[in-house]
Amino acid sequence: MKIIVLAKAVPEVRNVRLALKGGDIDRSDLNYIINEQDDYALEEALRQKEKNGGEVVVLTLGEEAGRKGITQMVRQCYAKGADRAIMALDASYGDWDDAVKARIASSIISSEGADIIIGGSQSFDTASSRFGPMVAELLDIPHATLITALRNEEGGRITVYRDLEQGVQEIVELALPCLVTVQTGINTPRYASLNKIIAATKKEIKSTSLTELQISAQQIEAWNRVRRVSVAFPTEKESNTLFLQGKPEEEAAQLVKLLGEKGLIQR
Amino acid sequence: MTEILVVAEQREGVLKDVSLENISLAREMAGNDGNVTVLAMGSGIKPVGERLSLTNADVVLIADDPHLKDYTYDAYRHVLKKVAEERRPDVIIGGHTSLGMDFFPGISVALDMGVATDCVRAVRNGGIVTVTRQLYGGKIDGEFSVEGACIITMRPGVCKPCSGGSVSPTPFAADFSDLKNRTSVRGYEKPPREDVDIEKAKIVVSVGRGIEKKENLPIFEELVNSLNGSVLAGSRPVIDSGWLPKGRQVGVSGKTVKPRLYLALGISGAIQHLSGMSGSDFIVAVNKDRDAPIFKVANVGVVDDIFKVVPAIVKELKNQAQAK
Ligand SMILES: Cc1cc2nc3c(=O)[nH]c(=O)nc-3n(C[C@H](O)[C@H](O)[C@H](O)COP(=O)(O)OP(=O)(O)OC[C@H]3O[C@@H](n4cnc5c(N)ncnc54)[C@H](O)[C@@H]3O)c2cc1C
Ligand SMILES: Nc1ncnc2c1ncn2[C@@H]1O[C@H](COP(=O)(O)O)[C@@H](O)[C@H]1O
Repeated sequence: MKIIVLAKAVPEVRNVRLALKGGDIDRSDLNYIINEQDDYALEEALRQKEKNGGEVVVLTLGEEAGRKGITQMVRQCYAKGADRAIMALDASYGDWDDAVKARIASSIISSEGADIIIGGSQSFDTASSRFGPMVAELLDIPHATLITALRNEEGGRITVYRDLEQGVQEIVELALPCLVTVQTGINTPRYASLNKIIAATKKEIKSTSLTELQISAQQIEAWNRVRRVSVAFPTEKESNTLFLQGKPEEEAAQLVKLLGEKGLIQR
Repeated sequence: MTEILVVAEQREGVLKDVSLENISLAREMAGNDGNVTVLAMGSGIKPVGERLSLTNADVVLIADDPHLKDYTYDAYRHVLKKVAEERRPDVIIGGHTSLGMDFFPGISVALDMGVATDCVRAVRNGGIVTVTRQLYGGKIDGEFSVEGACIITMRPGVCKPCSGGSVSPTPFAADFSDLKNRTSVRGYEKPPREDVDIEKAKIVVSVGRGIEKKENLPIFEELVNSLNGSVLAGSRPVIDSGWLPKGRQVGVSGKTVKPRLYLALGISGAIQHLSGMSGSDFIVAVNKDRDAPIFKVANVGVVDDIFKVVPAIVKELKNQAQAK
């Protein structure tokens, strides 16, 4: 079984004050981490390999300026057990619509070939949930999104559970080759030990480029339909949030008093 | 003439609210002389047609066929392709739901139209659609323009439902003889019943990834014990990690709660969480990140460490109880 994992390195912004720069956020000081759901995707791929044998190949696209962080993410994937990785970085990546990225990815995947392609159902930074199903349509293979379980069946088929609204699960069967996007909770991703991370620094990462893929600037231009106009901090809507001040004990006292006065807690 | 096509969504014959919201957006985009067509797909969906007939859409197409009993990408694509060929829409509008996430990105490739998903605002001016989307977990708003005929999916709840009207539904008969369905739905599984019904509680104490590990739960259970009528719930990562049972999950893929008091402890406030609790009467958030989106819906915010604030609240409540 050959599995390709779609893994994206995303800037870690939790507990970070963001700054804007040139129509985008300033990423220069941010750390990159593997997109949360892609970590689950990798884990699912590794488990498939452990059960059925085969190969796990990580595919990542990203901006040239993020090379260092993206390389680190790939090393983490190696440390966890990925066999190979392909990286396609480009200086213009940040200006591309997912339709462009999906076409680049599908061109790489069709020359690689795979039984299952596993990605996340949503990336944290751009959160558009578009990439996977677009790649599937381009490759002309079936897909299922938001999966919380994957089971192999006889005769080259798999059964997956899809996470619908309100905790309802949909059970779907699909034929291989196919693409699935995972939801968090499908498994518990493993940790990579420091030893393995260090060992992974020596492992080769294959780089490819638009030139090598024979994709022209004109093609990119034609595929690039959705363009970022601007980014901004959300306008604080007449925020009537009351922020309590002081030491934790003082905040707690104010809060308990306030909730008591409003009759929200019994005193 | 501007043609806007709304793909309505239904489950078990019940129309989803986002469909009505999208009709109102389509009306705006179509302008005075434009046309709004609504397409609903399913099997045995007469009630859906009836509901749509009471809206201010211009045309309601009902594709009612056993092949459409469950959503499958191939059958839906088959129908939408035919409808799009006939009606040549300038914009197709769908909902950013589990169905919408599965369906629209792929069909955008098949129809060679641009697609923008999970939009919180969309306008069409001079033939160009401009949308607003939330980025970086809600910390940044991005504005995007979409070239040419396009597909957009709207976040549920961001547009008002459409006005009333009267339009008679037209059956849309699609020939399925050349359909090759590569996926099949085997069934559905409803969530198991739980010991505690978080939807009925007056006070919901909800914990997020900020609690770090299961071993820290007792700190928050103690708060629940000192607040009469409260229950413990959590965000998705807490349930994914197995720290709390599935029935305690608040959010779009869990439960929707509207208690009198909602305490969000170490929860960032991702949209999928907010949609399950923003209807609460009173919201208190404790988070050490001042920019966490949870504070946008909170009535009271505490920018501090939950491991310091929560024990202090418990202590304060105990002091008060003793003083009585
Ligand atoms: C299709 C789909 C459906 C989803 N459904 C749901 C759903 O139903 N419910 C749901 O909740 N999520 C859902 N999610 C996931 C959602 O997108 C978020 O990932 C999730 O809500 C984040 O949970 P969190 O806020 O607990 O964690 P994080 O986003 O990691 O936030 C943790 C927060 O804790 C704060 N923190 C950390 N330590 C402390 C401390 N010591 N003191 C104070 N604050 C601290 C941090 O500042 C941070 O803001 C869904 C996602 C998708 C794609
Ligand atoms: N640049 C990228 N490189 C590799 N995979 C990606 C990239 N962007 C998106 N993906 C995959 O597509 C999923 C959904 O992303 P998105 O459509 O951006 O929400 C992610 O979880 C990844 O698996």
